[in-house]
Amino acid sequence: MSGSEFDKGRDYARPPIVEAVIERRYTNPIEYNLVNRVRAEFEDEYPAIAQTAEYSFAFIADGAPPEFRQNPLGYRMVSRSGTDVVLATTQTIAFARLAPYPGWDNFNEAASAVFGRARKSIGYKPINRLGVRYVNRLDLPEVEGVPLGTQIADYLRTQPSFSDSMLPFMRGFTLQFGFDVQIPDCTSTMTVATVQSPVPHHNSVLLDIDIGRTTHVPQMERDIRQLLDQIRDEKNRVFESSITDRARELFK
Amino acid sequence: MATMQTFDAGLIPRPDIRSLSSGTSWASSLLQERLRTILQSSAGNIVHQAMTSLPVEADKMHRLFNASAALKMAASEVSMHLPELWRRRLFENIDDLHDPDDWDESDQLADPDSFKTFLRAVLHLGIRKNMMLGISDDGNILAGLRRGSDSLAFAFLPGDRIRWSIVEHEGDTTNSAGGTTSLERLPNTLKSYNPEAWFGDADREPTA
Repeated sequence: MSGSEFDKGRDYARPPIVEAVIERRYTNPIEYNLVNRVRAEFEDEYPAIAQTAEYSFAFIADGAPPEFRQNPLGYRMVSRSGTDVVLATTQTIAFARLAPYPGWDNFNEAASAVFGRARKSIGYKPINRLGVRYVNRLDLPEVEGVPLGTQIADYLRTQPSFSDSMLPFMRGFTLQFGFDVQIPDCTSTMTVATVQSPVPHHNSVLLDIDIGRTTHVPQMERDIRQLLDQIRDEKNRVFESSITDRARELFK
Repeated sequence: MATMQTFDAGLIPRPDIRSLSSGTSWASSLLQERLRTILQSSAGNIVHQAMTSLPVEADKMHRLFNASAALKMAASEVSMHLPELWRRRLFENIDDLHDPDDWDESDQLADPDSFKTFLRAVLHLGIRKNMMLGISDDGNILAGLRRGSDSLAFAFLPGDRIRWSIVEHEGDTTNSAGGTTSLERLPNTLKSYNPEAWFGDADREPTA
């Protein structure tokens, strides 16, 4: 495949994207009353609301009972369609689209509208990270008698390598690594992990690509859109570089 | 033993687990938990952290919105394996099952594990026909298929277990059978009842 094809990505009939996310992370925490304002702004169209919170169990001293801490962060709001999600917390506003993925233009437009409305609710807040994340799940037909690692290697070009003596016994892995991408000041984190397949007689692997910028983060909407388009092309390049033609067959 | 405090004090290097953009799907939550576990196992058993989202259940309507969203989110995970029209019809069925006007406080919400078995059965058996869906008193997903005056019904239990029953008419004779089996064995069990005719081709258009 040529470089230009990489950049454009491909229109797959059945893309393996289980979730696409655009996130804005803010320099300073957003006050909780403003998070509540975001909730009020969206709750009619995103009526399935869950409170997100961080819980921790801390064993502070020998013999002392563990300390339980709960820190409410904000809300996860799911649309009536069940596929669009707004996440509003004291640190971030994010828009996620679950499968089926409608294509970049549709997704980006919907995200843009969400961020525009959220900005009206919270006012201008400096952004210190802009991120785009695509979680893909490849459902690989099970082949009896072939080690899982060998099966995965038929579909993925980015995966851990195993010694011959270990390969037949490999049952699963989680691999995360970071790398520079071809956009100034952006870095990418890829996580590849086996998961229990929701599809009978298949093995599933997640291919999670997260590209973000934490320095020289654009603040103006026009500049943000421009960066997001660049990130999207780069995400396609990374994704296409990470899979084999056999994997592409799965998405047709 | 290494602790979060010793990481924070810079006494030993913190494992290089990267902070990812947020995610809301089952897959992204699973990855987040795995990565958090790696970080915490390196830190010893001093601090356990978890991020959770708990439904805000202010009233009946919001409880039903949340229940309906949970099922749709589960179905969306496998939507790339479902015909689009069939998926849309399934989502309409889910909405119908959670219609506040038809919902009584004593009604049972669907068990997510039962719904998981339902989805796996749909994928495994290749069910593409229009089905009637319901929820049993114990939260299991029920599905019914009709062919003329014949009917095939399923109750999907957690853990890939399925209760099934069939009623077929042959002239003046009515034949019925049923049982409980595993998802794995179900195709074999139904072999003598012409499964292709029951599950068969995708419906072309959604019903009005």
